[in-house]
Amino acid sequence: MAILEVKKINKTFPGGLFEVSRHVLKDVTFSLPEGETTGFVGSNGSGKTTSIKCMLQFMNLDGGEILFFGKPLNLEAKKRIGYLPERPYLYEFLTGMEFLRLHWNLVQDSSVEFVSRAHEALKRVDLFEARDKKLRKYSKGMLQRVGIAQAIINRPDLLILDEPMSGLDPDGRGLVKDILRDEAKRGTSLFFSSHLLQDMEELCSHLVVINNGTIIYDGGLTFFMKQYKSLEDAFRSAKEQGGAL
Amino acid sequence: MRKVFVIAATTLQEMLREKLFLIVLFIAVVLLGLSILLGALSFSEQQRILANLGYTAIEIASVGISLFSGAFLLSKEIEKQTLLLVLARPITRDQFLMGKVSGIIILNTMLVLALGLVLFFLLGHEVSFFNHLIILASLWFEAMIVLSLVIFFSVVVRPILALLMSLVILMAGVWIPDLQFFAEKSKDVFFINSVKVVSWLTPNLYRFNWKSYYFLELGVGAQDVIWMVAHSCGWILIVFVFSCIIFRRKDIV
Repeated sequence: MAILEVKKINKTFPGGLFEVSRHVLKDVTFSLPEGETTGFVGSNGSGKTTSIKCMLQFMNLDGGEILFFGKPLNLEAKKRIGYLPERPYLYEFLTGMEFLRLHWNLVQDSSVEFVSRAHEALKRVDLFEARDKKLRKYSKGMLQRVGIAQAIINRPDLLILDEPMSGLDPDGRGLVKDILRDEAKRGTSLFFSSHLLQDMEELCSHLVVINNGTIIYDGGLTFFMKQYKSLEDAFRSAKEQGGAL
Repeated sequence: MRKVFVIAATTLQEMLREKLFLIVLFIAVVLLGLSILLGALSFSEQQRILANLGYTAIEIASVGISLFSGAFLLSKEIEKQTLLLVLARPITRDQFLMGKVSGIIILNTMLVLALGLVLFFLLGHEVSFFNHLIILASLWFEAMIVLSLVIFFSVVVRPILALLMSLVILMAGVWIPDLQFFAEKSKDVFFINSVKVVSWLTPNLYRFNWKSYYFLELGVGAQDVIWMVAHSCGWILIVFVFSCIIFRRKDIV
């Protein structure tokens, strides 16, 4: 069963006085199998972040439909989703614990379990010691990790992460990958974007490839890797075949 | 309601920890101090000067908080995209906006009450506490109207422009009688009609400009107070509903 279905979504950014409008998503269609880790790969500016923003209703669609757990996104469905944006600018005036409490309170009606769950999440992202520090004192890697902690604190069924490893050093990347593996083991369906195929190879079983706002591949990772040497190779083949692979 | 409260509490926390609030509070305290000094220089009009300047200090502080926090709080969230994480949670955009506005309202109320209490003790116990409260309420409503306007504009345009547009409406709202006076004197039909249109399109803030000592001494009629509450609530509600409608449809790029 698909945990998320994206059906023929379109998005155009209107042009300004001296700008032409840009059709950034063109009939984007793909689905996420439940319990699997899906990679969303494409070069910079191919429409990954815009697709995710449309999925979570940060942007209005020009057309198409998006279903989470079989229904259009509603408040109940949002309770089951964890999300981390590409550049996690967080409320820097809060401490790590206060930040997690904010996100806990927006989802849960009771604070009973909060402390134990927050400690658990902070330990998993290796930030337990820094829990009472203000976020403005966190490094970029620490901000990324506390962002992941807020995404997993409510034990979501679906985790959507936009470029979770971008800008991190090798240690940071390793830690994020470990966290994602743990989440996958727990049964969480994962959807994360990256412009590096290498990240996908290590973590994903399912792959969605986007190029210039068009989905060119939606299927198993192993099959994709057998067919193409690199993303560039896949993009070239897609072009030759008139759009999709 | 719980989610609105969570956002309001976080907004309040943010404002108390940011420098803006401290700067506005400092300006208000300096103005209050100045009114005491100026009052002390005058032998017969001490209390009058203290009241007039004191209320003006509270007005500057509360309107200042509304203008600056309203203009930048939401635009900062959109620009830095901090609201993405919050809006990904089970919360509607209306609840988010309501929470943000509530945070500023709570802070403004605390500020007006605290400064009002200080001013009341400075004025001495002879003045009517009830009249003092009515004047404070008029200042509070003025700040709330300004807040609703600046939030509305900040959803549509850049923060500096939102701040300037709200300031222009605030000034127009206060100066309508002066404009009407000049229009009638000029006998220019276009000028007269333009002022009429401005008076319809702006909140009539001059009708509850009660900062003078005169109102503290003699009080304000019940009818005027009811008019102030109805007029302010009407403006705040209408502008807030429009803000919500636009914010609901806004693409967060």
